[in-house]
Amino acid sequence: MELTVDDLASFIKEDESNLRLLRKFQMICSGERSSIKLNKSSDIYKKSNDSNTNDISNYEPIGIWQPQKKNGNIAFIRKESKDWMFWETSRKIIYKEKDKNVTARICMIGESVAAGMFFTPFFTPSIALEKMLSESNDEKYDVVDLTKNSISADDLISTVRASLQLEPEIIIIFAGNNWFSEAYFRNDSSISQRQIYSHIIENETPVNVTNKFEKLFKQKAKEILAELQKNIDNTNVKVIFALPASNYSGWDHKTPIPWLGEDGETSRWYRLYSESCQHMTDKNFESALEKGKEMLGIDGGKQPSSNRIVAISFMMLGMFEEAHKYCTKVIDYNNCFNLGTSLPGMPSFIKDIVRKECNNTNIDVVDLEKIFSSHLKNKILDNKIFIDYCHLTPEGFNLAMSSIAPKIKNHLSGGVAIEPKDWRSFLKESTIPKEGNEFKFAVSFFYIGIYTIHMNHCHYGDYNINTAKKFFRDAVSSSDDILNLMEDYIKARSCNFGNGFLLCKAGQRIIKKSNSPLDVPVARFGYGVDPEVIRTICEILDENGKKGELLFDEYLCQYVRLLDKKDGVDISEPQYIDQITSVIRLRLDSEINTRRHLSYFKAKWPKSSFYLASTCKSNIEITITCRLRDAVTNKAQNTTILVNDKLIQELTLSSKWKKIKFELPKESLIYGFNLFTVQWPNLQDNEASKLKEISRAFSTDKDIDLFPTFGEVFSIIAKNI
Amino acid sequence: MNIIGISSYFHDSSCALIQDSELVTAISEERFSRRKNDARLPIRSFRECLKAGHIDITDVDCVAYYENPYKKLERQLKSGFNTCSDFDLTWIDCHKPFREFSEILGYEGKILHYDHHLSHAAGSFYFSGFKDAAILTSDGVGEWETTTYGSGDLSSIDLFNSVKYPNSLGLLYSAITNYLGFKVLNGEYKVMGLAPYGSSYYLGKLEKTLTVNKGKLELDKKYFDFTQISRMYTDDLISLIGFPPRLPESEILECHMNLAKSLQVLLEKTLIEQMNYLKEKVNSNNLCMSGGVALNCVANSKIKNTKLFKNLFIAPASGDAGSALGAAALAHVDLTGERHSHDRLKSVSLGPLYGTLDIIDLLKSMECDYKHYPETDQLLESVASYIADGKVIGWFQGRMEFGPRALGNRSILADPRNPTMRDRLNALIKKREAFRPFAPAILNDHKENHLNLEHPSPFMLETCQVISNIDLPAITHVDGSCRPQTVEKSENKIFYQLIKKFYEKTGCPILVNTSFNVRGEPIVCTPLDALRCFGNSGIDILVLENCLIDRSMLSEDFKKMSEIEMDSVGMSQEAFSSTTKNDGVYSFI
Repeated sequence: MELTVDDLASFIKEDESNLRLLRKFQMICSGERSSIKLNKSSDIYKKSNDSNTNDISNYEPIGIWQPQKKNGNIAFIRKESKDWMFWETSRKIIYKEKDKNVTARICMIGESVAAGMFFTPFFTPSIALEKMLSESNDEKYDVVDLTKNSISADDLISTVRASLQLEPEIIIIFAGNNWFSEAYFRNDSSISQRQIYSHIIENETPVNVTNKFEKLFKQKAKEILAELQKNIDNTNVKVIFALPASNYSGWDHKTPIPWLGEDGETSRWYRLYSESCQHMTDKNFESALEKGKEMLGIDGGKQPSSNRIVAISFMMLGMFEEAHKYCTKVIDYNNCFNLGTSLPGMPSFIKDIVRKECNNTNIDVVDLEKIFSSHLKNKILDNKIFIDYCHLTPEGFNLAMSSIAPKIKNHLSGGVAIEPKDWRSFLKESTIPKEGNEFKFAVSFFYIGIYTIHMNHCHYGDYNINTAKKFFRDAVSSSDDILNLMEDYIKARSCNFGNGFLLCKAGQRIIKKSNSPLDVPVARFGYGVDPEVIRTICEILDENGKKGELLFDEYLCQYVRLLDKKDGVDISEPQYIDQITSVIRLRLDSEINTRRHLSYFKAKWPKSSFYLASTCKSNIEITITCRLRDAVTNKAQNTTILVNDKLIQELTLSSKWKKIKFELPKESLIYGFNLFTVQWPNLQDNEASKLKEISRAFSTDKDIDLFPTFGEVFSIIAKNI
Repeated sequence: MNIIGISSYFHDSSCALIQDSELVTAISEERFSRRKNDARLPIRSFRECLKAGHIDITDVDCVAYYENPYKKLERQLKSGFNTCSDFDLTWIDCHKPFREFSEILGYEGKILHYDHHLSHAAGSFYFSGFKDAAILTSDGVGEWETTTYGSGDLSSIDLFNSVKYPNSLGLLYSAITNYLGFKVLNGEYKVMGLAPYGSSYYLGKLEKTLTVNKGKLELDKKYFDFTQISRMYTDDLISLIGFPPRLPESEILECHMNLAKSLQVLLEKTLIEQMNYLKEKVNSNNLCMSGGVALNCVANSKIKNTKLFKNLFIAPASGDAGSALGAAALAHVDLTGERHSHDRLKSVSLGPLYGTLDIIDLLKSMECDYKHYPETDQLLESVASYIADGKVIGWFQGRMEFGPRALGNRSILADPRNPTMRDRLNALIKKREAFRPFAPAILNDHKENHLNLEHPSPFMLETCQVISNIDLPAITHVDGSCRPQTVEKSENKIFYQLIKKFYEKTGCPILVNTSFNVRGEPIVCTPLDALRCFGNSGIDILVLENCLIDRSMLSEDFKKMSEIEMDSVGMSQEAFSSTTKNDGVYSFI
């Protein structure tokens, strides 16, 4: 029988499951394997057309610095490119030839931590290092900062290679936080990857995707190191690899779990989660610990949220040694899935790989976690060193560089001029350029406060807002001129719900006071900045004699007015709170509804909260359209609506959209932003069949969701009555 | 009854809502996402339809999709789709649209789908007001059809003949557009605008690539290959034409202009032959046209001038965006047995509206100086004076238009008599190629004094000769033609009154009317889009409803920020990820 294209088309059209078979066939035909290949060098750094190729044809760009002839010398000139704002900003020209009076040239290559995010360009690890090296004597050192925020492994390697053109004596590689991105589970995986993952999902469990991630990541790390080694072989350059550290105590991240696989397990996990959070809120950490361990017993021990609960509990019980193990696991497995927001961090198993692979080479490894622990006399690293999950304070820069400086000195002197244990002699308060930079530090602290909001979702309490509050207060302590900027920030956020941020005068004033180009997107997009943050800033303004309350009222007003519109306002829309325009993957954060990806809100946690503005002058009519997804649909469990944690309404929902109307009496509201919470029923128990479904869908190139969805909200229309 | 029509996944994704037999709203996704020709599932537009109709997801009775993905798959498999652009062959998932309506839009109800060209036909016939009509649809390709011939009778449409892929007049035009270094699907309009500068020197050569006879159309495959990634023609075409393809953004030479003219002439000849065929087959004095080719307004005029058909209706949004309307209209017939309306579509002001109070709130929060005119008459008086003084106005009023043309709601307006205006608009404001002409908006009751045009032309879908005694360099193309919009008071009162004021001041009842956007961005939708565009261009005055902002009121910082904002709004989603897709030149095929 002759098969025709018509037959193929009919086959595909007939049933979606036929597509699955075709995908398998496609994979076999394409001959793809599951190995990770490093991408080819990015071509955005190819020589620009206006370079004078006659004289510089032997040179390649170093990142966005293009080779050119200048004053008769070869120089690398910073040029505009798509990603210009991510590269270190202070240096426009790098001459190939060192100044004659320079003792040594050191190239610093790395990610945002190495760049000194939030303090660049006025203070960075490179500046700290240069000062440290020069302070002890009259020698001059040229530390060339080639760092880039969010640099990929591939660009890291090409930057290392290209930096050799500068003939440095030393290259410092300060990276590893961003390497996870080619190993994690991607919802939009290639066909071959999908076959592998769908097999795991169906025959093992989604939780075992974590194991796959670990395996792939280790392989990737070895490849990166091999490439790096290849580039520096047969050179005289000394390479120091600084392994970044993570903030164990002072940062939280809330990651949902994928389906666990056994019927009823995931539901049980979430019940335990709710109970443990309640225990922590009640300061009953023994019980929280017990629940946390139970959760680990169910989820295989490699899920960030359960590890985090156990870690917090141990810390609060003063058991830091025990806590450390679980803190490490959080970092190790935080970034397995691209569905959640990634938190840059270098897993312990990757650090082990780096140490092992570099052992047989001339690459010196500096383990910053060990340095920091030794300094803090505590394995649980915290906010003394970090501003967030991995970025350092100025004190952190000092500490990191003081562990590297002696290695540089020793290498250059050809022996051991400085005992490694005396690295603390480099650690001086004076390295940090506080004088004359008070306002710059204030700006830094303010933006750090804003930035910390977007991912620091704690499991209990209001920890994240307190962290932000601390930074806002630090900003004011540094310079009270920052209060004007804070006022302008509120005004800019009040302009068309934040959409008009950059176009309004307040936003323009803010931008003028930025330290670095990256401050602009942090200020502008401020992902996660919500009324709670605005209120906090306004409180601090009030504390310092500014009209914070008035500004808060203006901010509130733009939302309250919406309630008087004929059709009311949909408070499940992100626009109601803040326009989400961030283009990075944060939009996929399961906890934040962006509407760029979906037409409606998906609840990944047992409770979903929205902000409802009110001046308490009238009752509010609520029309909610919602449905259950993976939660149980039997009438024994209702969905409840709470406002400011008080029960208002019970809803009986099904898996179909249902529109329900009810009235919120004004007595149940507070002036300002009220928390409107939907509390969903428990998850269904039938996981095995669910996973089969997911596996099949994934293998046919469909988008899937490995994380259970309790319920979905299409709209919550609020209208003054 | 609420029916939402959707066109999506290839270019210009759009949604339209027909509610209780009334066309309530129609919007293209690009206007919200700020990504030109946005082809993604129109999530924002879908929600806007619900909002405009005061309904929610539970109130939607039917979603109508503009195409048959199963038939399309057959064609793609058989004809050798340009597979290299998509290593994972995601396109073979023909179930995707319906699955995504459910999973992504959240829609739970009835879904109907219609053939691509049927949707085009419906997007024209059901909005024409005709009881009967001959129907011609022509575009690149739908499922298999590239041209269809049909007839409409009350509520039914019969497409009795067609031309099938790869024989396609639309793809031929796109191939030459590609040859001339313009972007396919975007640049065809530019080729049309370039044509008057040239002569039909290459007509004979181009005629060798195409055979037309009694409704049949055949491309010589030697010259075209639509399965390639970066071009649509073969080396044989290069040999035939005799000069190399033009590199994008390079200088436009005489040979390019001649090729554009030759192509235009060929298109017109072909369409007229097709008209003749249709006239033989369909007993009607009315003609409805739709499909991307129907956006060629120069050809439309030629068709009209043949007088083969007494009455002509061309869908204002003839491209795939308009098929969302067609699909919704077809669903209405299927569900009720009747077409939704027997009236002619009079207005395409179907998008969102922003009130003066909201605008004032916005301007206050921006600390932006402005002048508020409580009396509209005073506003019009001022604006007319500004235009007469040579100012360029960004004009934002009422509901946003649906379709590619700005028709007085989201427009840039200027004095057509000003000899430097065209160059100024092209260079500073639209930032586009110098050869491109601008279109006039003219008071309908004055048209015959200035244009060789006897009938209203409210949607800028045809061209005519300028016969005015007034010198109108900004809107007169090199061959003496223009693409007018006739404006009636009953259809757009405030725009009509503005032009009237200008006429009272100057004796000229015409304004330059070009779309309110700069090059590379979609037409503005919200007041904030308008402000951003204002800052990022050389527009002198911005009018947002009853508020007026003079450029001198803007700070340098504002202009700088507008530029930064323009770059970041609608930025590619791939900007921060490691994966990029290799888009072919015609990857939507």
